[in-house]
Amino acid sequence: MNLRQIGALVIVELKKLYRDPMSLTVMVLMPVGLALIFYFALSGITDNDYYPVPGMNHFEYLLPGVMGYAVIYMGMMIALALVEYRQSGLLKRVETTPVSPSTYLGSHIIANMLIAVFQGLIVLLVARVLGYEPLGGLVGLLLAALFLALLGISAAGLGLITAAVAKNSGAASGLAVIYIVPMMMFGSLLAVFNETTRNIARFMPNYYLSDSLSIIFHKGNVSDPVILQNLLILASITLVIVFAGIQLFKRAGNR
Amino acid sequence: MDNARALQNGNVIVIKDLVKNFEEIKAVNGLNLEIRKGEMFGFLGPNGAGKTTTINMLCGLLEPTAGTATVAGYDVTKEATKMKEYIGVCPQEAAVFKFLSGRENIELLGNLHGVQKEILRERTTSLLADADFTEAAKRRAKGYSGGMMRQLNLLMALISDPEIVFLDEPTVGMDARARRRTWEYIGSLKDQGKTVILTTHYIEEAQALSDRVGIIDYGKLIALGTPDALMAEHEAQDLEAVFLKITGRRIAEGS
Repeated sequence: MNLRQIGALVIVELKKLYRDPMSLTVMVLMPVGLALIFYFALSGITDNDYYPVPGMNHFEYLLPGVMGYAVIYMGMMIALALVEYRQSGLLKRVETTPVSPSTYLGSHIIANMLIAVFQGLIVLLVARVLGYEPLGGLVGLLLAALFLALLGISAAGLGLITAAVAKNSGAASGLAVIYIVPMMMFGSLLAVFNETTRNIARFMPNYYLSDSLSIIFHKGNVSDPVILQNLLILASITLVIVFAGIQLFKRAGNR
Repeated sequence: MDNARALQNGNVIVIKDLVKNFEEIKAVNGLNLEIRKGEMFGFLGPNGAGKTTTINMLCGLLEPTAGTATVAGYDVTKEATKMKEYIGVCPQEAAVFKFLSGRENIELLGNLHGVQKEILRERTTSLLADADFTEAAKRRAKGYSGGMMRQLNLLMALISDPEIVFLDEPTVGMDARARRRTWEYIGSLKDQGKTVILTTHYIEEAQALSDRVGIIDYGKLIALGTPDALMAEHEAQDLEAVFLKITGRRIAEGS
């Protein structure tokens, strides 16, 4: 991999985000909107017996899941971008340069990772402004960034798989919903309610972020062994998804 | 060609028994061809004759079904990444990043080719000035007309100062004035010592620009020589008449 090539391509992806009103809206307004919606809808619900800390409200309880929720949408965004690049001939154009497919796809993954961290932290920032006080200090924040980065890479891998299978942007959106909805329902929200949903959620990469950030932000226990265990599981899932995504996308070629 | 492999008898491109099948369709059927350094070579033929498929194989975008091809001394299949250091490709579709300015698009391609920062800045400025595109290049490509997109498409192919330039139907969709201006510009590439491979279905274009022309039909090379020699051999007044005499069809009728 060539760092200069990756740097140039990552910058292009970031420029696309801040120059394209739709992408910018999704990147900034969606996490802000999500945090506000969940706050106004759920902050009045309190004192459930399954809360890890007495006195917290339901918005605070779900906040770690909402942070992951903001990130998983990036899978669809990267799929749509790659399908568009393929249809407009831009992928072909890049392929005529000495850039290897791994470098090109790697740049998308890195850009997505940066955006994922940014989006997750926006949710946390809005929650902070609304009165939530996360525990865990700087170490907790760094751990959160690490989990968000891994989830962002996972989402990028799912985006590659989607773009490899989908022939056009309509198909890509439809396919993305197939994994975004279960991740949203089980990995971010419903997993808290009973053991069955929790077991289903263990198949979703964002569950490991939700679970770990709950321990960090609610209990402040940054050295809990479950965090390391979750980190290793999420890293393994991410590796498998990204590997599959790169292979499938390379095989699908320019069609 | 300072760092390229030693060329076979001064030929920058050597194609031997090249075949490309798309399921039942033989898009390229046993092509043999040699193109000399500094030559302006025109691939002429109707739509669907196999011109773009041939170019795509030479640029490393498509893997041949059978046969071999070397570009700048490098095998296009086994040494594609190295080979791509020596080529510039202007694809048929205007493949530009619309959210980037013209200048940013050109510089991106330069970065992907590994052109040094300082040289890249100077070369971009000079390319834009030569093409009278300096002012337009400050704006985002999103607002460009079709002709401007195609002009930018061509400039992006030249930023790496490639030894070999592939131009796939470079003037499709241009009005007569823009086409003439582009011809002049393409002609100047030969003066710079570049080898230019041009595909076109415009008779006038092939005749005006090419040192030698290869007429291709149903994936086979059916005539090869200088425009004058081909016309003399077939007692024809232009290359359209040459094609008509050989195939019994007009180029515009297609295959």
